[in-house]
Amino acid sequence: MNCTSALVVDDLASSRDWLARALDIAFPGIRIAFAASLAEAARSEAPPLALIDLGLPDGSGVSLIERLHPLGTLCIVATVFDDDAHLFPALHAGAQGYVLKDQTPEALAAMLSGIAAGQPPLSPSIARRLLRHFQPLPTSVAEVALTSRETDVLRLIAKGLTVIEAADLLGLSRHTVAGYLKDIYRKLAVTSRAEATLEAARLGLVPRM
Amino acid sequence: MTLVPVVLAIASVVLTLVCLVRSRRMRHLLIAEREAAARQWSEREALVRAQATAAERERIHGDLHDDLGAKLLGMIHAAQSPAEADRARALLQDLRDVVTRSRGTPGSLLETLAEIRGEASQRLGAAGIGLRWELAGDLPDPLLATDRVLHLYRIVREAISNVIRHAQAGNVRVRVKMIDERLYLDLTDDGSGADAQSTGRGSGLGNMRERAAELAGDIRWAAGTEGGMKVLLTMPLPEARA
Repeated sequence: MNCTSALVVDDLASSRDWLARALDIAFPGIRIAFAASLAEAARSEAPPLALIDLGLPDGSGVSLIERLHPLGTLCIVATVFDDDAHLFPALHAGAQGYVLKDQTPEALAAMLSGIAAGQPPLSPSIARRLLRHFQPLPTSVAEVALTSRETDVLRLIAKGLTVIEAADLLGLSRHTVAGYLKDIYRKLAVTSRAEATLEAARLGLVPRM
Repeated sequence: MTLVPVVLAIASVVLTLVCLVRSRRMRHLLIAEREAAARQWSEREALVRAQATAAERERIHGDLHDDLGAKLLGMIHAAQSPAEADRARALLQDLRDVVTRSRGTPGSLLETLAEIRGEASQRLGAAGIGLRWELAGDLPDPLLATDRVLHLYRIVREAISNVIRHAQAGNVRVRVKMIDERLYLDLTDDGSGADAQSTGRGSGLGNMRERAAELAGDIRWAAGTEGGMKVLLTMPLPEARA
């Protein structure tokens, strides 16, 4: 994807600088706008790329992701805590990846280019959470179930394998496995919309189809 | 007609007995009711206390998250050298243990090793050191209690700190295997093989020994097969399979 401009939403000045350095390494010449709060972020247009901290002074970055993701922004969470409890709501809202803010700008840049190129990161704890989330239930929405290949990939990553190791073990290319991860993220965001629709139908907010 | 007083007497005895039984039953009911009320009260008290504790934990969690997390992050961003950045990064990992893992559940051995691998590869990567990660293919996956999980995190974290600060290494190899119900975890670097007793390493090693003892295990240091130092942790794994 062509990242010519980005929005960095973080209330810490040193974090904003650090993330800007990483963005400039990953996408040389990129134009960067900054916001220190949800209110400031609300003033800017939907950018192609947004790096969003979750703990903002006036609320959670998740609400910003909910707004920007449907507008086509590639939303990436920039966080200090990458466990499933902190990140899952953001991924559910449509974030397509996350980076840890304590990484070096070079490591961050590599992660950002990877996410933009369709190679989202996936930690073991988040893989476990995804497995639980997509566990087949009688009530689950059939069209957003995982394929058996996608489930295989999640299981291996949950056990601590890297994407490359998982690909080797499954006899697939690294890019194929990365593609599965991307699909899993997409399905997660779709389930959240489907669940919201179902919930709304239950509450009588929208007519049942 | 002497029957009437007898009947009356019997009736009054019966009536007295009935009254006695009933009043006893009433007393029992009353006691039971009081006990139920007391139980309900103490349950409600416990609930209120639990909610207050949860709220307090949330507040502390929020403070740790916002204040301490932000300060440590600031230190990492302002660090003048990779080693200096790593000191703050190791503290940030300690904070992650408190903020994210202590709220969680106990983990399985493989899940724990997966977390350790992720953390080790991030820290070593930031210091320009490679990580080779070799797990035996036949490792079991028992559940570990939360405190055992934490000890494992901290032991490996300390070992990685020592490599980054003292060893001038280019690579670290971690191997995990199982022999006779015992787990063997060794961490070897290819660095200078600096003496384990050299300055600044004493308290870290003491902590690692204490944690190994908490795991009912054993930890030792030796010259590494790849030129640097080797740390070898062994511990029993009696837990049932997950």
